[in-house]
Amino acid sequence: MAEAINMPKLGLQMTSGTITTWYVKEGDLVAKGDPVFAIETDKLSSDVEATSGGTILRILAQPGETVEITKPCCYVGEAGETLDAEAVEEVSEEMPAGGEPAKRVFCTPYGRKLAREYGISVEELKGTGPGGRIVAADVEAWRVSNQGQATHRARKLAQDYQIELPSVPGSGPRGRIQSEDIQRSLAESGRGDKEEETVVKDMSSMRKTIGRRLSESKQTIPHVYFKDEADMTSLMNVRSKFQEAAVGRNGNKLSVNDIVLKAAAVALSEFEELNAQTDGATITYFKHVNLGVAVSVPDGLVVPVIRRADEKSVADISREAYLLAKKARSKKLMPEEITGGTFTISNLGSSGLECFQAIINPPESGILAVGSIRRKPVAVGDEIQIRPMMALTGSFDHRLIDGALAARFMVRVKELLENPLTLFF
Amino acid sequence: MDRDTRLHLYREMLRIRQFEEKVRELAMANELPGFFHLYVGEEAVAVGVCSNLKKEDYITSTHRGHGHLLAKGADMNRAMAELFARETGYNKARGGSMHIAAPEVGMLGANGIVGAGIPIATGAAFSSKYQKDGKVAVAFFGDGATSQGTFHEALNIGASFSLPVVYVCENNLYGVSTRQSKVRKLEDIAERAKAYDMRGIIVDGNDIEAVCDAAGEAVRLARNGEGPTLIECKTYRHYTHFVGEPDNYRPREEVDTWKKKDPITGYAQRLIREETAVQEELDEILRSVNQEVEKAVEFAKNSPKARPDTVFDDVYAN
Amino acid sequence: MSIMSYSKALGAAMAEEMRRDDKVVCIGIDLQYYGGAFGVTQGLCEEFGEDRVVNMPIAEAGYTGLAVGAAATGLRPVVELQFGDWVTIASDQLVNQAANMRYMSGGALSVPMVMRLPCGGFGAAAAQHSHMFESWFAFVAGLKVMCPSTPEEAKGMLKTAIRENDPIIFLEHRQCYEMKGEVTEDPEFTVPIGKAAVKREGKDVTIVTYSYMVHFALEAAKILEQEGIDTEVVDLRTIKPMDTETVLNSVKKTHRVLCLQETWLTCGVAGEVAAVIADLAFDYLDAPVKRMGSPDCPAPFSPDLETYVLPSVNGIVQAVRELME
Repeated sequence: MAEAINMPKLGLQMTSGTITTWYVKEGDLVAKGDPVFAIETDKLSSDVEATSGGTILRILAQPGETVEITKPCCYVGEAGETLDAEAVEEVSEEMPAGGEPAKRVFCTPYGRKLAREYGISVEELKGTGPGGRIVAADVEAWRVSNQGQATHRARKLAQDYQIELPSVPGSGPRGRIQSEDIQRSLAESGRGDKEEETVVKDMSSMRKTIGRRLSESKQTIPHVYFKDEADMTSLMNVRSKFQEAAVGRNGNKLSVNDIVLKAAAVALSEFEELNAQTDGATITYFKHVNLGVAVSVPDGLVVPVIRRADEKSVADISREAYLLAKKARSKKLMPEEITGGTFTISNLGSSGLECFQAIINPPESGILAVGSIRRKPVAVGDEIQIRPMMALTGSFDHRLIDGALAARFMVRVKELLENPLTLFF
Repeated sequence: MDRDTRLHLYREMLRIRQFEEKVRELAMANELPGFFHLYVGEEAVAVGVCSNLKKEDYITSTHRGHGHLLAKGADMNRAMAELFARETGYNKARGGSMHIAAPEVGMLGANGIVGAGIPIATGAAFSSKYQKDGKVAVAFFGDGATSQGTFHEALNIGASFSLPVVYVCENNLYGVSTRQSKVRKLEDIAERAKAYDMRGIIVDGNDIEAVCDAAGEAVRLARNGEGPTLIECKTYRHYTHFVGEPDNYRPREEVDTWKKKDPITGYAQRLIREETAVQEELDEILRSVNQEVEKAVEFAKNSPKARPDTVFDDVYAN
Repeated sequence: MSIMSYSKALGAAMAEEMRRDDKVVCIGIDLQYYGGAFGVTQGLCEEFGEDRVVNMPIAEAGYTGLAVGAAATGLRPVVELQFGDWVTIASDQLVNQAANMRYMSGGALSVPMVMRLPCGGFGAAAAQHSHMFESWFAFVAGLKVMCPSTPEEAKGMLKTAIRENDPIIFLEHRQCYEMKGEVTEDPEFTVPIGKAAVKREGKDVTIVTYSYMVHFALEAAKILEQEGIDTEVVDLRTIKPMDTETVLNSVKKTHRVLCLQETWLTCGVAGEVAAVIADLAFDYLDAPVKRMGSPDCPAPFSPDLETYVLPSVNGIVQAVRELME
C-alpha cells in the first residue's frame, strides 16, 4: 500500500510550502528518514524526510509548485505498485505568498477546480457571480483573455517580444509557461539578443511577500519621523569592558546593537502606548516588549522577534539576537519567531551610512533606524569635542502615536544610550 | 395419553427449562450479549401447543420466545449459538434472543414489538389457505398484546376469512411490571373471542395435558377449515420480565403460589403417581437434557463470531 | 404500444404479473368490484377472483401485517392503501417487521411485498389525504422506495416491484392517475429498480426530482429554454436505492442543480440528493445546491392556500434563474 509523503506543517502559521528541490526521482529507493525533498515558505526552508521506506512511485509537485500542508507531495510504496488514480490527483495550488492568512476568496468549487487545472490563481480573478463570487465562467473568461497559462512575468515578456503565448511550451506546473520558457524560445529563434542586457526572473515568494507588506505599510500607515543623535562615548567604553565576559559566555560578541535593543526594550516598557500593534481599527497593547530585529538575508529581509525583551538582560538579548539572526540566514525560523512584535530595530551601522529612514513592519507601532557611529565634532558645554555619534531615526505610526509622545520616547532612548550602565544592572 | 407421548412432553418442557436456566446463568456471568426474557414457568404452553403441530406448520413468537423455538423443534445448538452471537446461530447473529427465527421448522420469528406477530401469523395462515397446503399457523402472544390494535385487527381478519390459525395467549398476569388487570377491564381474555365470533377457550397453562388437548382441538378445527380459536393459557413466569430486573412488583405469596404450581415438577409428580414413570427414569431424562444443554453451550462457544465483513449480507435480497 | 392512463397502466402491471405468477395477490380495501378508490384494480377481481383480489376490513396495521406474514410464507402480496397518508397506521409492520425480517433472520426469511400508496397534493384533500412519506421509508434500511411519474414507467416499475424479493414502498401520485401516455404491451417490459432517467437533456442546469414534480420540471424547462437556459431533468424514479451515478453525471455536466420534491423540504429526499452532490461532486459545483419543496405546513384544504405552499412551475423557473446568476 503506497504511502504519501505530505507537505509538513512546520510552525503554527504555515498553510502551504513550495517545493524547491527533489533529492530523488521516481523509481528511486528511499529509506525511512532519508531526505526526499526540500521546501521553503517565505519564512523558512527545510528538508522533508521519508516517513517510510520504499520506492518513489510518483512525484506530484515539481520544484516551484506550492502544496497545501498535509497534502501529498509524493507517494512511496513497492516498486510496480499501481496507484489509485483518485489518490494521486495533483494537489498543487498557487497559494498567495505571505505570513498572514490569505483573504477569503469566494469561488465556486467548480471554479476552483477549473482554476487549478488551468494553473490560474483564483485570487487574480474578479467574480461576477452572486455577491462577487467567482464562478466557472470567470475562470474561463480569464483563460480566454490570457490565452495561455503563464506567469505574470512570462506574459509580460511575451508581450515585450510580441510572441504568442500558446506557441511556447511551458515547463512550469501543469505546463504553465514561465519566463524561462519565453527566453528559451527567444534564444532558439535567434531573438535572444535582448536577453543579454536584461535577465528577467520571477520574484521569489519572499520578495513578493516583502514587497507586498512594505507597500501595504507605506500606503496605509501615516509614518511620522524623528531624528536625533546619541553620544556613544560611555557606551563604547562600557561595551569594551563587558565584551570579554560576554564572549566567554555566549560565544558571540556583544554588539552595539545588542545594547541598543536593550535600551529600546527599557524605553518601550516605560512608554506603554508605544508597545502596541494596530490593524487600523483596534489597538492591542502588550504587557511585555516583543522586539523585532531586522536581519538581512540573501534575497531579502526578515524580522525575528525577541520575546519579553523587557525581562531580559543585555547578555540574554545578545545571545538571542545572535541565534535568531543565524536561524534567519539559514531560513530555519519558525513562524512564531517572526510574529507578535510591537516595535523593530533596524541597524545598518555596519554599512557605514550615517542615517536612514525605515518603513514600519505592520502591525507594529514603529521602527528605529540605527545608523553607523561616526566621530563628529559636537558641542560639549561650550567646547567643541570629537565624539562618537550615532544617528537614530524613529518611524512611528501616527494613527496611534502622537508626535509629542514619540519625541519623548526618542529622547529616552538617547538618554539610556548615553548612560548605558543602567542597562546592565 | 400414552407413555411415550407423556415422557416426550416432559422431556420437551425440561429442555426449555434447562436451556433457560443456563441462559440465565450465562447472562448473569456476562457471557452473553444483550438481554433475555426467560420462559421459565410457562413451558407447558409452548410444548402443549407445538406437540400438536407438524414441522411445516407456522408459529410466530414474542420477546419471550426461546420456549416456542425449542418446542417447535429447533436445534438447541444453533439456538444457543445465536444467543452467543455466533455465525452458526440460526440467524448468523443478526437476530439474537428477541428476534430469533427458524423458518426451517416453521418458526417465523420472535418479535420485539408486542402484538406484532399476531397479524403475521394470520398472514401465514392466509398464505396456507390460499396455497391449499394444509398448514396451520399459531400466534403466541402475552396478555399485554391483547391491548394492541394488531390483536383485534388480526383476530377480526382471521375469523372473517376462516383462516387456519390458532391464537394462543400466555396470560402470565403482568406486562413488564404492570398487573394487566389494572389496565384491562375484562378478566378473561378468552372472552374477547366473542367479539369476533370465534371460539374462546380458557385453559390451565401449567397443565401440559390440558394445553395439549385444547390446542389439539383448535389445530384440528383450523386445519379442517373451521377457522381460528383463541386459547387463553393462565400461567406465570417464575422470573421477572428480563434477566437482571428486580422483582419489586409481584407479591411474594403470589410468586410462591405459582411456583408450587410449576408445570414441570407437577407433571413429574403426576407421572410417578400415575405410574407412567419412576423417579430414576425422570432423573435420566434430566441428565440427558443437561447434557444436551452443555453440548449446546460448547458448540456455541466453539463457533466463530460473526464477522464484520458480512454485516451487510441480507439487508436486501440483491 | 397503446395509449393508456397511469392508473390503467398500474392495473395492467398487476394483471400481467398475476397471470404470470399465481403467488401474486392484491390486498386492500374496496379492491374487488369497486376497483379500488382510484380504479387501479378495476377488472382484476373479475379476472382473478375474490381469493386473489382480497377486500380487507379497515385495519391498515392488520392487513399490512397479514401481507408481511403471507410474503414470508411464499406469496407476493401487493397491498393497496386507499390513501398513502394512512401508511402511518401500518408503519410498525413495515419498519420494524418487513424491513428487518430478512436481516434479523440472517437471510432465512424474505418479504417480497409491495405497498402501493396513492398520494400527493393538488387535490384540495387537506392534511390527511395529501402528503407523501417517501423520505420516511427511504430512511429505513431494508425497504426500497419507488415513485413513478409516467404511465409506462408506472407499469414497468410496478412489475419490477412485484418481482423484487424485498419490501417495496411504491408511491403513486394521484395527480398522475389520469395522465395518458404510450405504454408498451410487451409483458416482459420492466423498468429496473435503482435507475434514474434523464427526461430532458440540457447543459446549463439540472433539476433532480421524481413523481409528479417531474412534469413541473419539464414544464419549467420549456419556459427556461426561451430564456436561453438549457435545463436537464433527472427523474430519480427509485428513491432507494438511489441512482446517484446518473445524478452526479448530470451535475458534473451542468454544474448547477435544483433538488426538487413536492413534500416538506425538511429532512426530505431533496436534502439527501443535495448531500450526495455536495459530498461526491463538490468540485463540479458552480453554484450552491438549491432545494425546493413545501414549507413545514400541513397540506391546507383551500386550493389557494395549497397551491401557495406546494412548488409551482413559476417557482421552479425562478429558482433556476437564481441558480444561473
